[in-house]
Amino acid sequence: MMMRRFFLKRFKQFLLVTLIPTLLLSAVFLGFQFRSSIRNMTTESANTLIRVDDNITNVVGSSVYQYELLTYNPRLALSLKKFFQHDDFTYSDVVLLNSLRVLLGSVAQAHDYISSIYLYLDGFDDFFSTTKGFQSIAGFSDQDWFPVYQQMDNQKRFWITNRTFKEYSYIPPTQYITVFQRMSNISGVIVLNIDISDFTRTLNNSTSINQEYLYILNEDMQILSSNDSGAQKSQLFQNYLIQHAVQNGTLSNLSNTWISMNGHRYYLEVRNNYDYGISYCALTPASLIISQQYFTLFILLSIFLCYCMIMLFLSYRITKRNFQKISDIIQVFDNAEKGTLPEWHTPLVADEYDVILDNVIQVFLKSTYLQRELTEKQYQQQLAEKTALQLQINPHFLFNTLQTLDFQALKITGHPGTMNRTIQNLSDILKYSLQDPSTMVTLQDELIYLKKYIEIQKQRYGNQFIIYFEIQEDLPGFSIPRLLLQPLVENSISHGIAALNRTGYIKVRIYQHKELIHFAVIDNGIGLGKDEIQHLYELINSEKSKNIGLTNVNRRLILQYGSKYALHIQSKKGLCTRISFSLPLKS
Amino acid sequence: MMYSLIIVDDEVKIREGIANLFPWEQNGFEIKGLFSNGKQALDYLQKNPTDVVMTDIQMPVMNGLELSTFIANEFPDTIHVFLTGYQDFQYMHTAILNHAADYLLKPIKYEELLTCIENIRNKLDKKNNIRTEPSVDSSYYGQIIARVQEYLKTNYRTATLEEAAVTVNLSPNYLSKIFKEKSGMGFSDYLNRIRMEKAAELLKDISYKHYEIADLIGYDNPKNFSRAFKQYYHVTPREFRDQNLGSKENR
Repeated sequence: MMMRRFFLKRFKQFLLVTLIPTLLLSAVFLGFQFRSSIRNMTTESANTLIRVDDNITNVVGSSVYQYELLTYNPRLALSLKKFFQHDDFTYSDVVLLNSLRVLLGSVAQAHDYISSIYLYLDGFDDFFSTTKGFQSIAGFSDQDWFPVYQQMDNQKRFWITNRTFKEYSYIPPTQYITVFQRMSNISGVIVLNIDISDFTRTLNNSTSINQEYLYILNEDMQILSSNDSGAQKSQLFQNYLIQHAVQNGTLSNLSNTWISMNGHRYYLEVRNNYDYGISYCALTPASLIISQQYFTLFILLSIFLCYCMIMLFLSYRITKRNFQKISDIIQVFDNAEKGTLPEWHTPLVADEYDVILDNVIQVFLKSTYLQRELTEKQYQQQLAEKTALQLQINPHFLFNTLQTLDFQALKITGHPGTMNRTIQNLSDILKYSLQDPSTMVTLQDELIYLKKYIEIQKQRYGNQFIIYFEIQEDLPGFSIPRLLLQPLVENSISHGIAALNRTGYIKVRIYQHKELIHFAVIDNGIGLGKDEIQHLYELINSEKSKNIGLTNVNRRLILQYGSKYALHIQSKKGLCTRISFSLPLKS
Repeated sequence: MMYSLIIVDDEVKIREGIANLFPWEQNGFEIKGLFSNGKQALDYLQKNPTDVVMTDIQMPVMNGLELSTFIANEFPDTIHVFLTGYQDFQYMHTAILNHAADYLLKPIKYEELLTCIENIRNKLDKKNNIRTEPSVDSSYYGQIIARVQEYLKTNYRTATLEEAAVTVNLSPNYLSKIFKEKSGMGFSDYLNRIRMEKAAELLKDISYKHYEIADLIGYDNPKNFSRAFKQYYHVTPREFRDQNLGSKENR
């Protein structure tokens, strides 16, 4: 839980530290990218318009020019006139006209969007068409060009209109852009029919990668052609232009501006061809520019995601490492409190906090160690004081008195007897107890002493108890702290057996199991209830209780071997009691 | 021949107790004097050559350690033994330095004293080239063996060689030696025989449990009893009991 919290916190920190600069950089980058996109688009649009203009100027211009050039040839002009007048042809006229037909036809065929070219001389009823040859105006499928020409102002040399006609009655009508060019040396006109659908294809090929919408307008702001397949957008643009032309007068003002149509924004580029009286418009939707940024956005997003992953991973690793460290430290502290002083290896110093932490731990361990030493010293002091207290009765006085008693008993009985034995045993026990309690003895010595103690107790209790020993045979040399067993046996006799009305049994079991030597004193005395066991545990673990043998044994075991080796009490009311402890085989 | 011995202790009851309650003469010693401090003993020694001095350590005027040093320096032929109530490293050190013969802790154990004086007597005998083949007749040993056997029959439960030695005023070592010589059987073998016979007898009475019998004949570990019993009778106590009960039924 805590680990999770720390993890999230660290993750947030990392993210903030690295993400803010990244985001800022991204924003700046995007801004630049956007600007350069727009600049690109502007130049692209302008270029496209120039290309389209060039194309049209070239094609229309060159076609018209070539035709006019032909009419400069007086002989050809004469022949044409003759032909239109249905005069007699000389052979050379026929040859000339045939070559003219081929020539005119080839000009029309050189540009795929030019569907046909008409040549008309004023005053005649016939005209020349590159597709159909000489035709009378009245009998030709396409007639409406003629009125347009006749109504046109004589001063006007060049104009363009939109027309629709059927070339054949059985096909659907086709839309054309028709270019009129008055001839300069003879009165007449050259009519150029451009198939809009073909021309649109050419326009499409001219657009840049921007995929802008291209429109060609005549002087009246009528859309002549566009590459917009759906007529809807053209209609919108037309409406917009009508609205706008009224307001602003000319189209040029609109060039290089952002316009808004039907809720969408477009960039508008305008180019005028004054010779032909047409304008070119390029509309680039803003969404296109934005969509160009998608790729950049995608890369930035990927980078951001990668960042998140890396931060996640780093946060996890660092948090985990720190928690491992914390758990190590806690382990060390725990162990120190339990009494085993662990070694603390100074970890590789990663930062200044590690140095501080390491110092803190070292100090803690040292102080724990000193604390333990102190407690032990205090206890030793207590023991020493106790011994000194006992020694206030001079041992010499004690043993001399016992000696005197011994002799008096001997004097009475005349021969060594039970009383002498009791006095001897008592003296031995006193001597054994008066020695430094912290020195170790062999198990054998402890048992000899224990048996002397039991012999005296037998004198007091008679046959009220029977004690027997089950000692593993290879253990007598094992060294143990002195006076551990006697308090256990004493406890069994005075608290387990003494209150019985029958003979009680006590068993002393000592055996080795794995790396431990187990000591147990078992009696079938009155036994203890659960509450009594609890109470006894409290008593032997209390710092204050001093005069109970079990407390003393328990405290010495814990001090010397650690709390794992404390006394263990098991009992069943009215049945038996087992008090046991274990010592490590190798201490 | 009797060896001369003096006892030095500031407590009158103790020095008189040692003098009166041990069979000195039976072991070849004669008490020549009792003194309450080292100075008195030293004064006596300067006039009367003495074989053995038994001295307490803590005494007024001159303590046992000072006396010991004097004896070591001025009377090298005199053997001395310390009596003390309490072990002390400094005492031990002086004792060894002055070649004290022994170091007895109070209250003095009868068998330890017997062993101690027997050792001293052997040492003195050797020095004086005397073979103390007791001139007593064979009935003396017969009496000793009989008394020990009697002791064992009544005290088999708690009997020890030391206690048996005390009852006949001999050192445990010596008793062990002559018991084997005169009765043809080791002391512990004899004790074991008595115990096993008693055990067999008790096993015939089914009111005793097997571990009770072990306790009654002086075994504090029932397993050891079973092992000893099997060694002696070649059957376990349980088998022995089953056989006996079975034979009773057949009868």
